[in-house]
Amino acid sequence: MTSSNAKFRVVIDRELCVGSGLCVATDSRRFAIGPDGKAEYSSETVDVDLAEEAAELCPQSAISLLSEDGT
Amino acid sequence: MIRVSHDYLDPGFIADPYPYFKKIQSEMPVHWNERWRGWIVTRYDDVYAALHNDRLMADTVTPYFNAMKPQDREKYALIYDVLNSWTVFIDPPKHTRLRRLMQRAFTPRAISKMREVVEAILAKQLDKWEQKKQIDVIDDFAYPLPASVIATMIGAPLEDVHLFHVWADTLTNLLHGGVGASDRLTRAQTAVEEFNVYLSGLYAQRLTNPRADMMSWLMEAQASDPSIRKEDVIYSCMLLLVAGHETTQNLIANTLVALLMSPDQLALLRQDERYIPTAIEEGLRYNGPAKGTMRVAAGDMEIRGASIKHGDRVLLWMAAANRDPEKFAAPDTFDVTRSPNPHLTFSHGIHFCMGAPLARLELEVALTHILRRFPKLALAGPVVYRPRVLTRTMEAPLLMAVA
Repeated sequence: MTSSNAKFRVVIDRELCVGSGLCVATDSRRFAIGPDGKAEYSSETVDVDLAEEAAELCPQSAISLLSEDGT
Repeated sequence: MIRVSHDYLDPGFIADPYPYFKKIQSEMPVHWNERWRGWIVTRYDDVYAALHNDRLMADTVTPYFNAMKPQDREKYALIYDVLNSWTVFIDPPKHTRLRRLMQRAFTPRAISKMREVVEAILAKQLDKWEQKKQIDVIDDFAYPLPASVIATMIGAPLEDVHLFHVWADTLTNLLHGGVGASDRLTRAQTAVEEFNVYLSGLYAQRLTNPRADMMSWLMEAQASDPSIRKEDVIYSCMLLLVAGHETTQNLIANTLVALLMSPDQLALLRQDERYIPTAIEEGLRYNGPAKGTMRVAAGDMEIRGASIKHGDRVLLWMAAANRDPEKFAAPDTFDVTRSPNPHLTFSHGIHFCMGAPLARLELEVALTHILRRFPKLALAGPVVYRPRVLTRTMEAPLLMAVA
């Protein structure tokens, strides 16, 4: 798996997100905490390995990595 | 600037803080309490913003130790070293490093694998209830359950749980300001020393024989990161044992009592177990384990017009925020179907409770099995709270009839 893969997208459940910032600590180039205290994914391309790690570490399981065909 | 001199150990406030919170929230949402010597923040939006404010620091321990006489600071250096590596009391960048270390061993997926362990420990305890007419929910249940679960997760033998109770209670008293304990530091020093020796023993065993437990996982993470010390692993395990102890006890006891005091809500839950997840969140919101958390200002700032100065203490009353009518409809009603329920009981931002998935799991398993097995559960004595500033901790015995 390449580390930059346009076939995936990162989805953050804003109701679940508590702004713990663990995703930002995992990949600070692509995750950020917005003005409302919730996480955002700001990159067009996805670093799959780091996104997977962020999803795993998220204390609220608020991050999902979806492939473009919806699985 | 509004100044008050209210006493947070006042018996009326300890018994039921919510009328007081409602009053200060509407009349003086941010004010200075001279007795507590700090700023008080009560509204949801202000507490939320404060929890996300990186100029409000969680390290309340360093100022406390800096104010000590040099000989005392030296005497209690181990306590400082321990507390200064607990994620709850440190700030970035150190916080980020240690939180990531612990979070690796504490992912929601790792916690979900604990379900069978929790169910097995719970079943044993509930079997004992079957032989009784009346139980003490604290000492027969809510106190031993979380300690047994967390000890098992870390990899300590269950027969040692009584040791954790003593150490955790001593440290909880130091941190949450129990009344009339002037020798709190001396006792905490002894507890930390014993705790350290004990956990160092577990650590040494795992150097040669890693196991499928949390201490081994933390040691694995330590091996791949030279900035993590052996002490960080041991002190983090101490934090897990202390933090997972009384908070979860309070969550279980307070939620059970809220249900028993709202018979219609209890009936609804018995009728339809699908409400258990929302009932858990409502238990956390309505009368959660902690009333508030403390911060120290790292610079001058304003909160709702109040001028907070560098070094000032700030107390965030999450329990007041959780009943803010601007955020929650009918905030004083215990409603097991409430959704969404964005309570702040687990904090928010970088200090969001790492044990949240485990606390939710323990309460879910406990509620499910207690409701199924004990249809006659009822309060059989008074509900008394311990005199604690920051927590909502019920006193044992908390008697309930089970048959």
